[in-house]
Amino acid sequence: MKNLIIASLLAIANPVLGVGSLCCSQNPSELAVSQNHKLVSQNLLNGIEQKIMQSFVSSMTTQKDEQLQNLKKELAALQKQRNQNIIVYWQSYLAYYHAIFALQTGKKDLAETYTAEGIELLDNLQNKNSEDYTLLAYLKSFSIQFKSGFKAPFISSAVKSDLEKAIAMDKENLRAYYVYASSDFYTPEMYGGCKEAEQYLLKAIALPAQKVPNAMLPAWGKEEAYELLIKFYIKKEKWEQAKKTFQTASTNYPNSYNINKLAAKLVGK
Amino acid sequence: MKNIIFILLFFAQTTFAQTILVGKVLDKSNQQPIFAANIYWKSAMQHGTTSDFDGVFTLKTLQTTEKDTKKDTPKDTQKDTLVVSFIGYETKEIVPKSTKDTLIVQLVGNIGVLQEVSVVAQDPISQDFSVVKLEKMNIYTNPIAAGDALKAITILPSSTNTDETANPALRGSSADRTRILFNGVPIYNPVRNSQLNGLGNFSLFNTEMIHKMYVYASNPPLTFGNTSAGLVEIETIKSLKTNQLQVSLGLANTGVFWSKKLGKKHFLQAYTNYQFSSAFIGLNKSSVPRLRDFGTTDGGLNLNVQLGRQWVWNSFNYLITEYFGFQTNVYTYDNLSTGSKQRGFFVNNLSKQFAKSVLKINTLADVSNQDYEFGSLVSNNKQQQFYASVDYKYLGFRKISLQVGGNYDYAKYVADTKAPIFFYALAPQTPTYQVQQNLENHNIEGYVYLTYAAHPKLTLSAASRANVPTNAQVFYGSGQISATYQPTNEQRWLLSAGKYHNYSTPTVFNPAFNLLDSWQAALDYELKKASFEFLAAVYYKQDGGIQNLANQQLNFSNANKINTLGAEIAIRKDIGKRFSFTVCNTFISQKMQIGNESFRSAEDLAYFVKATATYNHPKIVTIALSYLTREGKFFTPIIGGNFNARAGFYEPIWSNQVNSQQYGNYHNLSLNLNRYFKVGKTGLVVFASVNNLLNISNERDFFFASDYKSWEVNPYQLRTFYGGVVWQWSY
Repeated sequence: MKNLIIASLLAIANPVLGVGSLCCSQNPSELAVSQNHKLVSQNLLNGIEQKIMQSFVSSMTTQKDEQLQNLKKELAALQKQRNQNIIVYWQSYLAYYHAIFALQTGKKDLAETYTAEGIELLDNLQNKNSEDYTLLAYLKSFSIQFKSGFKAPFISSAVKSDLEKAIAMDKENLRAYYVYASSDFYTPEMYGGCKEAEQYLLKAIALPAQKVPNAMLPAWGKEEAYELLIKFYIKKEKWEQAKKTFQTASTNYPNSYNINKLAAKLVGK
Repeated sequence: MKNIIFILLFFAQTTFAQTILVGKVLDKSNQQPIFAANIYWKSAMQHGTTSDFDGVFTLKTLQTTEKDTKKDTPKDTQKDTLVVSFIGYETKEIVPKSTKDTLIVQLVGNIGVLQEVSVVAQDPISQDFSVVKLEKMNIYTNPIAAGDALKAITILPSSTNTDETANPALRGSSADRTRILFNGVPIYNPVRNSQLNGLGNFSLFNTEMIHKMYVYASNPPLTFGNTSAGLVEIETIKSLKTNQLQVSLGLANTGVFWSKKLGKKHFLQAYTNYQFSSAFIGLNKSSVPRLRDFGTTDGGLNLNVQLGRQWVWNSFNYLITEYFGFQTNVYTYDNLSTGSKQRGFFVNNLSKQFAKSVLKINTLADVSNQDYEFGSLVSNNKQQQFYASVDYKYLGFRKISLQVGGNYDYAKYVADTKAPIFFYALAPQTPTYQVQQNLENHNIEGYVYLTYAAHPKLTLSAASRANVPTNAQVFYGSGQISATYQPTNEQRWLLSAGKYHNYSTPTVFNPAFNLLDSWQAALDYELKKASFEFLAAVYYKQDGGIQNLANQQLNFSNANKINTLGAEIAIRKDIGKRFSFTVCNTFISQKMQIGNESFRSAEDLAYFVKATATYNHPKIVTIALSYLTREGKFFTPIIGGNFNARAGFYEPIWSNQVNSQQYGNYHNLSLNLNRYFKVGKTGLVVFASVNNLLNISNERDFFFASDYKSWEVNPYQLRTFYGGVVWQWSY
């Protein structure tokens, strides 16, 4: 039962298992963490993606956001001291998880506030790089649920604009392709959605999570891309492709709750 | 297995001996340490590390001792290549010479920024200073636009168009001062049936082609010339996502639109429309009693070709033929007026993307032939417009963007007119005179436009533009300064001021290229929250030059100066996910100066309110109600008439109290409905609209009896119904 609860919690946030799976797999980032342990063991940013995920899971388990708040304070203090764009990135990433926590605990207004905080952090960032634009687009896309139906197509447009920049800066940023596909997937067809998701997801799963293993930089997105691609094929009733993708995904991410739960939809197809 | 052993033996036998390499990673441009940079050996990525906050790293070396199996002798120690990389920097490879000293690695930044140039470069340099930016979706969801790009502007508080047409008039200036730039070239008279009451009803542009539309309500950016009011900059799409076929059928229009990818990078868009009047007039006979006939046939072709990696060629070619018949009344003469026009324009753009800059070459050829007949007035005019511009934008500086350019704008107006000697006597038998006019204008201008990101929240711009006089032209210079300040993500202040110039467009009634100018200052503020928006603006303009007031009731036609003080306020509120409300009001205090005297302008409006209420449920219906109300326009009353035996008509006598009377206040409530249906892999949009739902007779002007002793109202459009379907297939 406990496992089920944890699995359900993990299922709430898309990027979570991606990070977890990297830790369990032979992803080189683990080796980098090990190699560099001496230097950065006291570094808050070492393995920060996982730390945020762990804080989120702890917060969800206890239904209190103490862990997330603590990490938020630590990042804010570090940023005040060091003033680095990458810290702002993780502050924003944490804001995203904080928003999910608030949403799951019935505090929609707070979720909207945290999402806006995350967007503002990145919006104000000078010299944004590909990862910054990608996360910014992700947060904007997430914010659509808080906006009226009138705003949705315009936010989608802003999301695409950010992602075009992200991809122009780094054509191998799988997260940019994943977020692009995600935005397209959830855009109603009447507003021109669901046309490009497949090609972007195929591109995303063909790319590495990180070009060079680095525990301080983002690594999320690949597992989510697999999951969304399966969902896409299910939606389009392309059962053979759905099953084939599921097999590859479950081989690469055997412990992924989000992927494994899709098996039920493929049974008998 | 044997092979594997052989390969291993053939190459080398390697042993490892390790020392510690200490280094520091810096940004070459500012010598600041780079945190979290990747440092690893090329042959062994897993032996990597990252730099700390001071840019410092330590890494075990991979000194290898190789034994050459051929010679069976030990080879000298060889160091591997060190790779240093970070997001947004060029990756650097180094072979460290020694581990004794700290290795300094300087990374060259901007790799990401430079690539971002290719995205940013597509946007206008002045985009931060536009009041409104509209995209295709804004146009389609606009409650009164009916999918028309220029009509979408009319809902904005800055739109002061009082004639129910699509031709934009912004912040109290005449439509002829506002320019529409289409892919960098000016399209004059960008509306259909432009002879119908002097202005047209729908724009010439197909919304499916539009990427972005920037509205500069005042202070037009000096990257463009020949405008002294507002500017609307339209850009067509840069890439095509999917192929699409669209077929539309409406009460007065049928059309086909087709877009097709050509390979991976190129695309084509083609469309044709046939506009017809019988069904529309038949259904709305009592509401449009004076409209006899109208029709247009047009076709457009837009081709986008990527020439190599950095060159892009876009070519838009458009042809239209149109005609109309309209029962017209001028002073006391009432009869059918007819007109027809054939026009073609061809816009070509060539752009090259460099690492830090963009070069654009734009050309336009626009030719038309127009006939008009009303009583004794018979005219034919031929217009030609050739335009070429070169723009060079440099984005390589950290905080400064620079654009320079120049343009040549040639306009030719050839008119052959049989006109009445007495302007108020228009019957065919009245005395006339024949006049041939052949006017040309060569307008050559150059400009510099500069923006400076003074602070993350503050951007400044300055620009200057001047002409190279040709023939009898005078030299003039235009200049502007602007600042945009964003204290938060939700708020923006925009302050602009400048002086601008343009030439008027010749018409049958005003066949001249008059040089016009305008001093302007405007302050705009916007607050955009999730479900609430607030916009406000104040501005002052002094429009100078010989300005034709095109007012039938005014027996003098030229004003020297028009001074406008305006204020706008707009609020948008979304309630829940389905309801949205907007309301805006514009106040215009406008005075015109004729000679040394100052008079109230016709459009001196104490209020001009536009309100919309929209309910949007994609699975049920989208309903939009819009309500426009404004003070009636002012006019100079005709107080009687003197019979002129030679003309056979009474000559009107105007009051000497200029613009002392006012037409009735204007009210228009309109309803739009649409519903999207998914039909297999295709979509169907069904739409219907009722214009002037309450059938209010809004006073446009008057029809006079032959002696001017009585008159009746000539109203704006009464209640009319329209509807149709659009079928879309994306493949």
